[in-house]
Amino acid sequence: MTVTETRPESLEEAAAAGAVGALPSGPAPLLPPAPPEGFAGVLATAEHKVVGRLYIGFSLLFLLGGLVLAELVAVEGVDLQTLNVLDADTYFQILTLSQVGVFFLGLMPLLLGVAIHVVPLQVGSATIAFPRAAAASFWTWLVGALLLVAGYGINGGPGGGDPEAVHLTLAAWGMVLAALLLGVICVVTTVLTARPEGMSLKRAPAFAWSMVAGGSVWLLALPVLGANLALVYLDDAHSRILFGQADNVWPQLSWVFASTAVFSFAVPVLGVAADVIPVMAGRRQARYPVGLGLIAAFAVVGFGAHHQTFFNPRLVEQGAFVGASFALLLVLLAFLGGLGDVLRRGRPRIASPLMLAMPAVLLLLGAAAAAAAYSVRGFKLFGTTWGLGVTKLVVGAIVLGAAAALHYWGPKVWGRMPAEPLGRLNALVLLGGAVLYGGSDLVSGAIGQPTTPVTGVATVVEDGAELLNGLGAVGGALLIFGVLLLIVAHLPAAFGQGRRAAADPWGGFTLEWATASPPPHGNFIEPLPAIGSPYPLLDARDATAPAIDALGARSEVV
Amino acid sequence: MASNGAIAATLAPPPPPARPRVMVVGSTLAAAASVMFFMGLVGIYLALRADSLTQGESWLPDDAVISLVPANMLMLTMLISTVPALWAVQALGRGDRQHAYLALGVTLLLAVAFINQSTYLLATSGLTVSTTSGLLIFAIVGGHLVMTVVGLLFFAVAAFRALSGQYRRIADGPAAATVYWFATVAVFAVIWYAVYVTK
Repeated sequence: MTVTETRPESLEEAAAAGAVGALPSGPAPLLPPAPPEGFAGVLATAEHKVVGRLYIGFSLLFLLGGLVLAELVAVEGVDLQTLNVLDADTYFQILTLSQVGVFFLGLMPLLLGVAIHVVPLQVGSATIAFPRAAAASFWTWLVGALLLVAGYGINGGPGGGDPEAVHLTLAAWGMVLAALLLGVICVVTTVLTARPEGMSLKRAPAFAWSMVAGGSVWLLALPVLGANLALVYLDDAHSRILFGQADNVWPQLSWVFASTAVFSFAVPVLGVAADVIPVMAGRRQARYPVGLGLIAAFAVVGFGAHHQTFFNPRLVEQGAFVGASFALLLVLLAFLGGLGDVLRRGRPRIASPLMLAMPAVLLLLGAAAAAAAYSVRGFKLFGTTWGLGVTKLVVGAIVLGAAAALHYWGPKVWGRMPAEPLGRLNALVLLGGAVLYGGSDLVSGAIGQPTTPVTGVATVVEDGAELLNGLGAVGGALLIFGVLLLIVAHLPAAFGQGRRAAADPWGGFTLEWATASPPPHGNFIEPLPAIGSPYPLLDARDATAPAIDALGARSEVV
Repeated sequence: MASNGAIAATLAPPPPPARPRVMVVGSTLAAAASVMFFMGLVGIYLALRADSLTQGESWLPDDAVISLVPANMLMLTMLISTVPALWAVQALGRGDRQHAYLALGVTLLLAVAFINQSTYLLATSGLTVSTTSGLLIFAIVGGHLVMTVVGLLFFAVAAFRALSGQYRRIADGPAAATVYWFATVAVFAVIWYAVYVTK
């Protein structure tokens, strides 16, 4: 059995045999794998809902670890002229591991896990495309992540002291990349091939669409990072003539964490917001295809693989970089305008998904504005901590967006309601933490503080920079606390505790709310409603009870 | 009544719309990612080469020899291999097993020949990994050999599974493998020009 196999028998034959429930409307080519039984079943499962939950659980733990490491680096910044907690070599290893850990072991797999679980439901599919490949993606990612951390633990990482450990971390990072991209292929293929009749791409749910747009950019940009990793590995293993020299390794790899490439990680956050906010406001988003187009434009502009300062030191002087930076800002402004229009026309419910999703987009807008300023030569921000502030704001935005996704789809994922009061508290904690975390570096950069060298000891310390770094450390601590709150809010639900979730606790508009929470094997038992717009469930409700007030129609809601 | 039955018989529901083929779409995405991997390598190669030439230095070591004739043969081999690959997909779609086996065999033979030629060219070039150009060429050409082997295995497995009736639509797997194989050929075309012709 290969990961690419599709079973020869048709879904119709399987339905007749009772293996799945009634078929959704229109032909559905994807046959769900057998449901897992017991612990061994979970290990061998290809059920996308189980794989999604595994991704979410482990990525939250790694995200917590990555933020703790970043906090160690931030604490060192309180006294820039000496290292008080870490020595110089350890400081650099912790710095690089925190960035790799937060993005590739935390945020990206977290969003991918939500997508693997939710996207097949959103498009009315019985399963994900290539279910065994999705499962292989998770286990490969997990093994790669553990090897990556282990490699650092034995003095590896870029510039590490043990050559074998350095090779291990580079290879493990490549393994993590390949695994994540395999998972992305499964999600994107599902959206492109498994939609029901009537659901054109213009009518696809926003989160599913954002995974197509963002996933496509990841599939194009992250292999370039893989090429960088391959060159560094080869050179480090042989002659260390250029790519493998200790001082050159991190500059070749860190472009993915800088503007504009870092924004590509945030594309799914726009999809989350575009799904959550109309439901919370109780109103359709006007000009829906325009919103999808803006998400795609954001993804395209966030490509960034060609913005590698190691091979192009004069990047910030080039019009393409400046243009891309401003394009991000304009696209986000337009996107935010669309969401604002929905909120204005509706009656927003102050629930945790809205409280988390809206600040996520606002933070992203702030990051884009900062990135645009960074690209203007006259502001002289290049080489200061301003650039790091942009990255940190994006991290904060993605954490908020992922939290919004978990609180919104949590009932569907776990079958139980996550703790709503903790979700509302978390919105304030995460927002405050993200603003302090990223904002402190922006202000520090504005007063001219240069980027801290990789040794951790700065030769130039502007007045107030250390105080600002202290505020940034407070922000980092709040982010850690926020992620802990997120875990605590969902842990009981993940283990079957807490209030049972209704099939549609939010009065949702899209297909994932047309099935039970959690969904049964094969996802859908009842026939799906006809798809005539991006909001099929809202259409069905309007058709059956048009006289009911919008609030009254949501009587089951939390 | 009979005429009503005849009318009812002619009003059969239309067939369901054709769906995009899952394996072909997945293979296209994987091929795109693979292509971008090589575009990254080639981009770095061209950038460093341009820097080196701008500074008045020679890019390749003096004792390195990259003959154009073997490289042109490699390019022709790859181009020719696309024909039996397409032929295999068509033959499978028609249920013509004999020609499918023949086309599959020719494709695999050409792929093996390419791998053989490419390794020989690299081994006799005089390049080493102790120079920047040598390291990059080894990375690019070696990486493409890996891509070729993956494509060859994909094609072989997909074709044999199709012939044993494992796919709902018989040509799905080989069609997906052909997409990946075409990407392999396209990548080599870029490598041929950037590395072997331009040097």
